Amino acid sequence: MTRAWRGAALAAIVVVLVVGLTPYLWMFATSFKTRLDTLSDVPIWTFQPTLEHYPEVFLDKEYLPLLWNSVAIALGTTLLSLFVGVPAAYVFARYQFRAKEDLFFFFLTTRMAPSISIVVPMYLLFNYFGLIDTKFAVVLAHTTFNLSLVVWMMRGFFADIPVEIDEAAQLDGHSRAGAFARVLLPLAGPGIAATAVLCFILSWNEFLYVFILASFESRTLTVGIPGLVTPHGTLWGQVAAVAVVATLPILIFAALVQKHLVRGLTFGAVKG
Amino acid sequence: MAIAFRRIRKVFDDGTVALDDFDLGFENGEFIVFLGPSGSGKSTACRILAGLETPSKGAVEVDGNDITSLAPRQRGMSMVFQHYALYPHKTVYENIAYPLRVRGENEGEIERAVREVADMLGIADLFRRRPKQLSGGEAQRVAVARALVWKPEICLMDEPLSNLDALLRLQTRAELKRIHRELQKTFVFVTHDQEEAMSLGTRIAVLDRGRLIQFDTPQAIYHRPATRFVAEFIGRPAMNTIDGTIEAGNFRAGELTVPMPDPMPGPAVLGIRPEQIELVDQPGPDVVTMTLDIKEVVEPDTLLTLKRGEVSVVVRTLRQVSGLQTGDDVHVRLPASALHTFASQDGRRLS
Repeated sequence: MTRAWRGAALAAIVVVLVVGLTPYLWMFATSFKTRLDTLSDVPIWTFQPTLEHYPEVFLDKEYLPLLWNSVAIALGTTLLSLFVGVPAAYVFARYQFRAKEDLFFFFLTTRMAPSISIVVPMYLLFNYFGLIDTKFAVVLAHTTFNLSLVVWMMRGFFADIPVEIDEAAQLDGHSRAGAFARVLLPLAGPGIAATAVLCFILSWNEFLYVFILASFESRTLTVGIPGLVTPHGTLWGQVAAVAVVATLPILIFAALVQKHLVRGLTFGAVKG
Repeated sequence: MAIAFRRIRKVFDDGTVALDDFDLGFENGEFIVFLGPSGSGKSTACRILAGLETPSKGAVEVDGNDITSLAPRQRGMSMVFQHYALYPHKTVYENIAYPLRVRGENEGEIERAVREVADMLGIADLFRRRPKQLSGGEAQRVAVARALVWKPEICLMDEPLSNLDALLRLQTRAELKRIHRELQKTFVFVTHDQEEAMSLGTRIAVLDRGRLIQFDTPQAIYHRPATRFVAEFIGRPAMNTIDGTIEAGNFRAGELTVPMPDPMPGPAVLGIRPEQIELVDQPGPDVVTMTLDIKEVVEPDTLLTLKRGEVSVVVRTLRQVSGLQTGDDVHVRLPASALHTFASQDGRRLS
């Protein structure tokens, strides 16, 4: 690459970073601003920071249980999606059966359906079983869209492991299931971690299902934020404080597994 | 322990017939080679024996017991794979130890067995490495060590040498022969390389398009190939095969006439190995004169492609023939004892 191209590429990266990071930094700053500073016409970058918003929203307004809800639901969704999806992905990667690709495509299409079109029937269903406003209902709902993701990503990771490894494990004394559990799962570990993080993030961020199915006791931070838009105006400082806490786990997890994340998501693109 | 394939047929989901009416038996302690071109079903036969494939028909027996439905781990066999199939997340030591761990051996026993097999293969200094840090030859040894560490009665090897470079292949081949002699276990070795098969096998099963063509010692396969296919597949350069007819005590093909000792009149294929054709100085009663077409010097041998009309034969000789030029007359004798005849129709051996 020539020097000029390098310069141009670098400039492009800077632009993307600025566009992408400025709102986040702005939000981060806002969470430490007084109400007066947040309402200034021109964003101010130098101000006397305050810590008042965090205790106010999490303790006084009792948003702390929402944080717990978010964690519990995202964790539950991740575990359930992996528990069902990883073995399914293994089967897709290793076994031949009739209409396999059709079934696989069907799994993917479940992700293409707009949530809004399923949420009402889902509401009726959960209502019938008395599950409205439970974390369990939200976990089930979130698993519906995460399952296809797990199957999609993990199939690629399993396909990358040579079949000979399965066979070697069987000749070394494992049953087929044993080979999967004892040899293949550890080998697919990085892939599982990346998939788990993505599941967690998607569930953590999800708004609509939680909003419809669990808008009271079991609501999450994401759904909690609009509650800070009051008739007397939006409490920007508190909104930002909640948002900062809400994005923290995503930042940490994404940083941990970004390499595998990219690899997992581009699998389909490469192999068609 | 005797192993037997009983009329195995294997049809894959896409309709490919990998094996058809495959019937074969051998004894404990042999070094059996499955030899054939790609698509001959040799790997499938090996995988059926291992339990990695289920035959569509037929049975696999060990000592008369049907093991067709047993899982691989219940068969007391181990396997070396073409691409080694080492566990990438484990060290060399743990790779070798793994079959013992799965079988619940105690730590002391594992350590002893791993050391013993590693010493035999000369890989004890690699214990702490990971498969990624091994050369092809080293990885191959580790794979063999893992297959032998728990002393299985039968060790299967599916083209284990095909990923090594030529020199290493020769070394590893010699080593496998030594190991087989030391361990006295049954080895089943799959290859498409006839030289590998000839050097390793106590007996060779030659397969073609899913069928067993011949099962015999390397010597018998070389000297009395059962079909034209075997004749052409074994030995390099390949046996000369000439389509012609037998009539009045002679084999005729174009301008070539060769006297036949036990003539059965009709169309036939004459076969003679390049190394068994003798160059002679003078024309004579049993001598054929041909024209030199191509001369290839492959020290210490020389390969001569000779022509007479439409008929073309290759001669391999150790004699110095530097004086010969393309177009020269060359006198050759085709010794009666070196002649093979095959049926024109199905290639089956006639003589």
